[in-house]
Amino acid sequence: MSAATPGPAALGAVRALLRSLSSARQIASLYPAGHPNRQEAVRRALAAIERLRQASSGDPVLFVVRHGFYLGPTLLARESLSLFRLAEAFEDAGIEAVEFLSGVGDEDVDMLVRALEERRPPNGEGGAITINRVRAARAGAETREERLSDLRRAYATSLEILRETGSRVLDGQLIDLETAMTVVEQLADEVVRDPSQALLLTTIKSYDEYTYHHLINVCMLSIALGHAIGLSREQILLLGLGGLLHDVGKVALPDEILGHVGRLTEEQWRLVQHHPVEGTGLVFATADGLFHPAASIVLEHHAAYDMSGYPSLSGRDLPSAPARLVSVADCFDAVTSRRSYRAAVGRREALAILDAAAGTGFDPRMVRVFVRLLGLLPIGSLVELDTGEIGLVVRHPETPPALPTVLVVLDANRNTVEPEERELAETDASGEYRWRVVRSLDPGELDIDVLELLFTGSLREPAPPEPEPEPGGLIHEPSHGEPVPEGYVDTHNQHTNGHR
Amino acid sequence: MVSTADIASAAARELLRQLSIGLSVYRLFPGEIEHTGFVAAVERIRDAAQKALRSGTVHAEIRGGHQIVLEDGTTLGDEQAGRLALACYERGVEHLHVVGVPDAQDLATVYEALSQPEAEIAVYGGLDPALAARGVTTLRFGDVAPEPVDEVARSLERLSPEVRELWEQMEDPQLLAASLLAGESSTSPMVAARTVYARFKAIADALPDHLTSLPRFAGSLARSVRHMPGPVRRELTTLLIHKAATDVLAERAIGDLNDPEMVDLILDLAEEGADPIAVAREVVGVCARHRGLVDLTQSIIEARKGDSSSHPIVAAISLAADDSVAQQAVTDLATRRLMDAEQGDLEAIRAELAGIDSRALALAVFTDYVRNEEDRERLGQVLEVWVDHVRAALEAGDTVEVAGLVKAADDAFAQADEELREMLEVQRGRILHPPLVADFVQRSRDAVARDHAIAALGIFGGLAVDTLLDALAEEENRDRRAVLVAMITALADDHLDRVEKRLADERWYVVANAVTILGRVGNRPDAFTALERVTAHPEPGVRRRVASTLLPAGGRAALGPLRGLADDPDPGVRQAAVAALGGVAADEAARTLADLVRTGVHGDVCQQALAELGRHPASESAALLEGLAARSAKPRLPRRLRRQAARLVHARGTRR
Repeated sequence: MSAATPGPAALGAVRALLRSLSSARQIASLYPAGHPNRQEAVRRALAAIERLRQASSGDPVLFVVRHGFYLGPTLLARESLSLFRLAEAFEDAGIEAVEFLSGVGDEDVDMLVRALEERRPPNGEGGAITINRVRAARAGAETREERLSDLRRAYATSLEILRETGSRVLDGQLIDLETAMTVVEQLADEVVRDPSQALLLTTIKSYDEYTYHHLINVCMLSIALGHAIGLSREQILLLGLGGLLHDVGKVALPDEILGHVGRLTEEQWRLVQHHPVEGTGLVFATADGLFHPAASIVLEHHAAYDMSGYPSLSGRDLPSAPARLVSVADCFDAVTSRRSYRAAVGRREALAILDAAAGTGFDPRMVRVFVRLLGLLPIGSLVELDTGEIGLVVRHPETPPALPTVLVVLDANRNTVEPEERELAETDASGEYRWRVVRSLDPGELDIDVLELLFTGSLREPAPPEPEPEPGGLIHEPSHGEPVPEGYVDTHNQHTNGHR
Repeated sequence: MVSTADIASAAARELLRQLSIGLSVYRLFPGEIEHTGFVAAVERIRDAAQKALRSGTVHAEIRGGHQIVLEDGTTLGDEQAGRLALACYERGVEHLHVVGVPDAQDLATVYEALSQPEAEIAVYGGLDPALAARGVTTLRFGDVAPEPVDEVARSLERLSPEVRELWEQMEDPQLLAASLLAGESSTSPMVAARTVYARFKAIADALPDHLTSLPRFAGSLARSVRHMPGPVRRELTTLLIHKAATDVLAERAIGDLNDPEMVDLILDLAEEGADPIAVAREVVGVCARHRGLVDLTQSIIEARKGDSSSHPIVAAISLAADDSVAQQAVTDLATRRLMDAEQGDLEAIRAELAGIDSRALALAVFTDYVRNEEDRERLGQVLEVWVDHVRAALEAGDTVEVAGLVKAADDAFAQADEELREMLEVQRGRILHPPLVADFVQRSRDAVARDHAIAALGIFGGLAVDTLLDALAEEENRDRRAVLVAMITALADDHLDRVEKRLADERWYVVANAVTILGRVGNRPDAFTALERVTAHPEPGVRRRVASTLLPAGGRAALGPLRGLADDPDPGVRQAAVAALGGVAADEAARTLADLVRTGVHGDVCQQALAELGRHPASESAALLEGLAARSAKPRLPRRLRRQAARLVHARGTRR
């Protein structure tokens, strides 16, 4: 058994293993024992186990604790979030620890996969894969991770449900509004309980599952915004549901558009700009969805404050207030995400983009409230202090515009340090502020995994480069106030970017 | 070589300087004439006075509160005798005469008077009488000269009326703003701001220099700014600030504002996103107002009263002084201001959300969706859900909801192409499906429930009539048929065409149903015309129904067709026709019956017509019967009929 902190290679290998186990579990539910597809899935998992063993100094142990995956003592933040159902399957099967000894064979892996698929303890001995022989040391578990546990669980559940929703839509089925509302209620509970942590969580982005992460983020931002405004729970849930579904029309976009890198054709842009209507159709076509108030958010979130957006709305001077609120959150999350035609902008710059488009794309009042919610140094921002240290803005004080709390994670030489919180409002004996923010930073610039940081409260050496999926060609169409990509065509208004 | 005059002047300057210093010392130790500092001062004054008085009495003039000018024109400034000059000036003194060497008591008395409030001195009629009353003779003080002539008023009299009008606008910022903006129609606030400034400069050019040099002139522009529309106001403020470094008029416009006025302008820019600190620093840089603003900030800090009229930007400006205490004030005051503004935003958003008419919004969204949806399959799915909603509302008896849902679809598809409208019609036709209609019929046995059902179904117009007619065609239960007929009759008034179409149906019972409905809708010419067309229907059952319904539908006009049906080959039809004729009260009906008795082809018709005539209320009935009973009648009736007619005549006579 290896108790040492795993190295980057081992972390990369265990991530691949978890993905292959997740895939094998799903294949096992579709095909009978002995089916070639099952055998192939098992072989892939076996190959991942062998890679993991090679990268580990001893026998690697995978723990599953509180819906989180750990390799030895190290939390696997992204996998804990994105492979929520696999974690559930482990827990339902009563598997808390899996030790991969030498000589693991197909049968061992198949035993594990069957247990996960059937969600019950494995039958018989696992040979070179031992189950629950060792226990996770629970004492001294990270308090931050515990604090985020419920929120992370809500986020992960939402992600799974959105994946299922996406599958349903692609299969020509309808969305399940009731389940979606359950997700929103869970998220709302968590956001209201600790808005700062929720806002931190909205920094999570995914290149390969952009839309789903974006939907959850916008949902949480909208809920937080509604909470900050002082709306009723019913109104907050409406905003949350609208946020969760606002881009559901994109799920049905053809792969050749979603996966397209580079310039889209006019017809492709037309399809992209049809997504609010497509999404509204998906909502309306559900039993409870016709005339659902959230539909206005789905339909109007690109209509723009000055009604210059799409689709055109009849008989109204403005998009609905809920749509105007969610559109602010939508833009913020969109522009802070990486796209095929440009890098993600920082959270502070994103607020500037919103501010620039206030009065045209967005309702100025709602932009002001949103900026106030996030603060001029938004939660989740990476900042450099005058000491040269790098930190993450993790909390804002109750009373604006007092200064935020920053979790310092890198020293002036960019070496990881034991995270330490700095209250920027703190002054020295002469009344001078002890620390000042020099500038905001892009996480990508420093190769900082914010998700890792959020869940573990610390940074570790980056994992070796994995075969990362290409960023989707269309991650999000341009928002108000930001430059349009080359070749962008506003097919709704029949204008090209040269004429806007 | 130094002249005597120079020596005298120097001695006089020294005396006045020592007198000024003595005043400062006295104010440090007021009333303490034996204080060593004051004693020393008195000695220095005594020495200086002895020297100066060698050349005679010393005369000096107090000018503007900060200068003392000797007879030879020598001027002592702030740093030499400023305190003495100011003390004299504030108490209305314009001239100072030193006529003797003052002792400590004299000086103490003078300094005490120069430290007293002006009002207390005024009680004595001025400083000189006050000192004379206290026995001071070595120092004498003269009053300020009379007020000069008002140059402004005098110069205004010399102005042309147009220019004078311009000047008068300066007194009223609101009027000035309106005048400067008059006729300005540019959509660009920046262009408008430049126009305003150019106009103001033109006014300045038109006015004489001594007027435009007055502080209130340039300040009037800045004060008028607040009365302009927001975008122009902010552009003009920005313009003035930017120009202040190079343009005298702009510099004075900004510089002559007092602190709160300036703060208002900066705050205005800040609320639109400008960095208030940067703007404030620019103002400070170009207008040399730094010291005053810092003073104001400091007074805010010292007072710590949280004066809400003070603006955070005032405090913000003091950041330029790197004052950490001021920074705290910035935070406090800015916080309050931000929170006030934010509260306004929050309340406005809350109010807007609370005021949303969810129903109206939902219907508007539905309309927009339909207008924009290109996927017919998806639209079909949505319409199926719409059908379910309408059915549910119908089942719940929620007529308002039903009407709203139907109207939403009608509105949404109003501009749609034909194919889409056809799609809606198909879906609409699915709403009133057989189980729903059966449920309605079941519930509508109760009259009140029936009224509700009719109101709800009425929303569907002709579609409801068609659906119910279909249901009626299949319904065998007599009670339910009666309910259906009643419902259709109530709904058919505006949709008779739907009913008439059924007259062409191949199923005779469907035609008969339609005939029944047409007969029940009341005296309608179109219904009667339609019924006339089926008097020759091959099915006797239909003709029988027509015979029964012609009269209510056509009134007297039915006599002709009924007469024809009275000769129908089917006895039932004939019987129905004659019975109907008997129901017409007019004389004409009686004559028709009599004619039937005489000419009827079928004996049963003659018998029945005679019986009907016997009961007929028309005035001619009796005479007609008598004619039929007469043996001389042509053609003469068979004896059996004549005897029956005679009995009927007799019976009518008996009744009479």
